[in-house]
Amino acid sequence: MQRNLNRINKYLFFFVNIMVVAIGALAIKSKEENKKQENMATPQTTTNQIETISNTVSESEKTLSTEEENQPEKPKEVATTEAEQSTDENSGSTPLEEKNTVAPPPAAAPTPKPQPTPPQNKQSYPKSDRTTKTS
Amino acid sequence: MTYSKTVQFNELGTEIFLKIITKEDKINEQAASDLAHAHKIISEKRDIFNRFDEKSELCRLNKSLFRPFKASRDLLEIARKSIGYNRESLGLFDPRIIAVLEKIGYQKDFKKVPSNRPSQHGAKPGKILDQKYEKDIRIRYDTITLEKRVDFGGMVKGWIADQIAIFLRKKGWGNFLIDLGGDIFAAGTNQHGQKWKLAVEGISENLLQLNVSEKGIATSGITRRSWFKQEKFFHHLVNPKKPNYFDSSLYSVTVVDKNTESADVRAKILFLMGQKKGMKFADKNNIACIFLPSSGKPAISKNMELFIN
Repeated sequence: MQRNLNRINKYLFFFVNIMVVAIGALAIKSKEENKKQENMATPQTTTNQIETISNTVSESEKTLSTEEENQPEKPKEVATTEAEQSTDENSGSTPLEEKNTVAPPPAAAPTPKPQPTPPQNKQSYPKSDRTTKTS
Repeated sequence: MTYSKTVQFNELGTEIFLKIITKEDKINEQAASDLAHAHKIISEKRDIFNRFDEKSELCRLNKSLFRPFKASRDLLEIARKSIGYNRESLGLFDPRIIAVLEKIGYQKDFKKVPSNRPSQHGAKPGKILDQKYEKDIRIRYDTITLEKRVDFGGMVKGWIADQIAIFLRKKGWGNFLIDLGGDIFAAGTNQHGQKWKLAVEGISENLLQLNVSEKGIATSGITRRSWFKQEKFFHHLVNPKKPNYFDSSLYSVTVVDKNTESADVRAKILFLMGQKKGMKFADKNNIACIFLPSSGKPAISKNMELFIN
């Protein structure tokens, strides 16, 4: 009986050890797989995020464009807003046509050279040959 | 390359300025000679029409009232023209105003008496128009018979400027400027090959310049020949219809016309009409003129715009 019990313990111990090793091996394997999956999954997530952001910006652009189109009195403000947004979208998600419609920001416009101020008493006519006199 | 020859001197009680533009420097001597002769012509005409010189032909004519006076060709021409201008102006141009001028104190050369001029017989000018001008001056052949004394000072300076222009043209000159104290004739172009550029006294040349060629220009006004007597204002531009009224609302009237004599007379007529009536008359008769009021902006007739930049 005792002998039988010892045998059972031996088998149990052996079985438990095998199970522990097997579980450990599985755990390591699953870790490696997880690492691999993580390495593959990260760029996918980033792309999805960018696409989501891009879509959001495009939507907001459209909204802005529509709003601004209804306000033709402020063309400069529209151009500025669009330009700022397109600058944020250097990822290339903005359609080319839209880019072309964007006016350059005022800051990029060539600064006019200072004009020489004419002297206040500058003569606009050539000097007269003679002046009439009352007689 | 152009050259010019200019002479300036005092004559006719004012400053004379004569200028000829030449193409070659070597003919400047000829220009100088012709300008000297022009000076001589002015002196000769002065001797005829000077009302302050008792020896002048005009003074001798005025002394021979009611008697036929044998007149020179120049005096006859001026006397005839004066009748025409009197009719054209409906009596506003009238050489008989000499009586008024003397009464209000203008009986001597203006530069030779003090500004506060004494007047004869009080300061009231009185009446001068008893009958039509043409009845007081009768011309028959080469004689003139006067019933009232006359002074042709209102047209003689302009006429002399035209005489000088005729003389210089005969001598072959095409580009010159004659200025007899404001009565101007501008021929051809200036030394830059452009029309002559004239400023108007009292208006900045930066605001207004006249561009003229082959035209007479004259300005009549009260800025020089005016004075006070017994706190009353007088000037030499006498209205024969209102001899006791001396308008001070206008400084001057400038006219551009076909010749200087016509510009001279018309400037006086328009001055006497006053700005409102005068401008209407000018536009109706296509007269180029500028009214310079004593206050306010100058008024320019439609025809004058042709001569303004």
